[in-house]
Amino acid sequence: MLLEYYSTYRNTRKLPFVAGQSAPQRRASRGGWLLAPAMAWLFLFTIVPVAMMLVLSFWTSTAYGIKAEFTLDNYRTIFGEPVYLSTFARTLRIAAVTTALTLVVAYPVALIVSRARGGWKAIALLFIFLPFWTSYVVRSFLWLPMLGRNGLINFLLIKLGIVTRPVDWLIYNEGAVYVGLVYAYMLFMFLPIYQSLDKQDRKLEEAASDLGATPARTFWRVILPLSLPGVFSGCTMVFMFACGAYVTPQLLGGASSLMASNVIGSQFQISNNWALGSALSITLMVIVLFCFMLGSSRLGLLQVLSGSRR
Amino acid sequence: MNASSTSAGAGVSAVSVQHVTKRFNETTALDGVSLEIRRGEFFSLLGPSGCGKTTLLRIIGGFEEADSGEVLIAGRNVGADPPYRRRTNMIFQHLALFPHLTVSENIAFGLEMKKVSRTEIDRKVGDILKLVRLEDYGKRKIDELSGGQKQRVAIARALVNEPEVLLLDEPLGALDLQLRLQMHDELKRIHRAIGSTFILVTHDQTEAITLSDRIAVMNAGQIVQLGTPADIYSRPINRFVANFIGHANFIDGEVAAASENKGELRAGGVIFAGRTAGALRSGQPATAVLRYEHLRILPASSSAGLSAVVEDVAFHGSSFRVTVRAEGGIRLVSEIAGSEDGVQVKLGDAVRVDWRPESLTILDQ
Repeated sequence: MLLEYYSTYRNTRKLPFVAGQSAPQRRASRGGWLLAPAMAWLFLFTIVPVAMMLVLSFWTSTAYGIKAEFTLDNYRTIFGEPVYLSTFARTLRIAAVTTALTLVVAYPVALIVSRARGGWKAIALLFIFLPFWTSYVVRSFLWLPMLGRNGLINFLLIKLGIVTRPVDWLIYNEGAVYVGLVYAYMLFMFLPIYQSLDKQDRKLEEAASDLGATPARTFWRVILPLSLPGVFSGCTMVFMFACGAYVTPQLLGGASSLMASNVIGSQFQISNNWALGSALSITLMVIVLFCFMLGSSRLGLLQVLSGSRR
Repeated sequence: MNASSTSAGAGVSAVSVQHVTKRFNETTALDGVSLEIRRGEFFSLLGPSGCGKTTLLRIIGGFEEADSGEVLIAGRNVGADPPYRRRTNMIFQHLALFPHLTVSENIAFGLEMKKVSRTEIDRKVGDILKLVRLEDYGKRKIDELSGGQKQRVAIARALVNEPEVLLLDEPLGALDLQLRLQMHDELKRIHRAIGSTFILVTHDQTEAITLSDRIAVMNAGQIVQLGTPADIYSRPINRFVANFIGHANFIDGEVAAASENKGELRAGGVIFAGRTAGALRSGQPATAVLRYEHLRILPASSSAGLSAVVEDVAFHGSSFRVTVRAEGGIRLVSEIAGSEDGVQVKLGDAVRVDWRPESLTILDQ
């Protein structure tokens, strides 16, 4: 039912970059030079790096570096070696689970904050934003003294007499990566959901109650469906960020929970195989793009991201 | 008078409000209000904004809790019951239709909450769509409807639950005049068709007068006057009610003579004869209220009433408003029906003005 609502929600809106293309194009040909700074920016920071990577991914890797000789070997390696494919599979799995966990954590918080009274709302928002004023790397490092062998959690477990010796399964595994990623991306899930909940007409809840809906049924039938645009845009952002996660799995994950970005990074930094690294990057990019398109065709994510809302 | 003849005879009141008081921080929204609303009645709470009428409606619906006092619906004390446990349904000021549901889904919402069977829901939704004349709109989205259609969906969504009491919180306020008049007819028709109790909150006196069986005029958290529209219109108990409903001349003076319900007011050396509302003493300051349309304009040759000079003639569509300066320098306004030949008086004409004593009410100031 939710999906049904969502797809009709999408269909009733026009995609700005699909509908009426001819008119903007005509306009662009007249005042095209106005777009020049934007185009230059796009060219310099998006197209050039990707194009360079694409070119590099077809170059030949040698023991002394890379040579400008065309080859498909890099892609053959990626699709031939199970280690790379399993890394991509793991990356997508971790990204998907991270997205789900972040949603479960962020939604109730967003609901409570959006329903709080003026003063409390401001205080709650401040505390939610506060950690995000520090660097992402610092926020990931923070989990080391928390989850580590001699970390805060072990300290408390021992003090409370729950364990006698420090437990070592708190860190350097996939679970620790989830903790770090959920914490790191929480805000990107929280904000769009909070926004869609906050702008909801509270009279709709009164109307539902008036029609016999208990608070729980009001949530499932009214509040949740109306917040779906926020849920979908939050999920999209977190999923995309998580696919490219680098610092968190590096710091908190074990050898078995390395993600695509870690493998790519090591090709550039350790193996000095820029060609394979580029090919891996392009592959990851295509996979994420594919997931994104799948999502947008199924759920109208493009719609949400393009910001064409009421 | 007739206001006290509540819930006489058999059966309990549809809604009984007993000494309800409600404060928001420093302001008192309701100050010990008591009220009996009869079963099947179209009842209006009329008053200016901030008079407490909406708060009273929200307390009956369960959206606010009274600080003290009690509310009984069909004889049962509803206490602190939340709205979803009450046999009332509300039509909200801004309708509050669910934007993610179709017309039919909106209307079916309440029935689904009561776990009515699907076939029963379909039948009831079909019937109510017919009642509000939206048979072909069931599959539409809410934002594909016009203002008047949305209005009717809101009415259907509430009525399909067959509430003991239907609460209407100024639901017609957002509509333009033409549509509002159309919805008045619609509401009246629906009320007659289903016969349940309607309580309407409005600040629009015309709306209250045309729709209601009885009206409670409210001001500053209290009921000022309760009665039939005709009652309130022709016998306002004080200046506030007279001023709020219809247009009236107010003549300030002092009581020249007062018997049980007849009296005379002296103002500017002229005597105004009429009926009195409440006990008045000779010599006390008082105000005479005379509706515009109750002041007749007679030719100067007539012997009745007071002599006057026409100061202004204003065209008001179906009627004219003639302002005159009567004996004693008192300015009075008369509303006279327009005829095809136009109005017979001109600026500066000498005329006489007259009224029937039962149309003029003398009130304590």
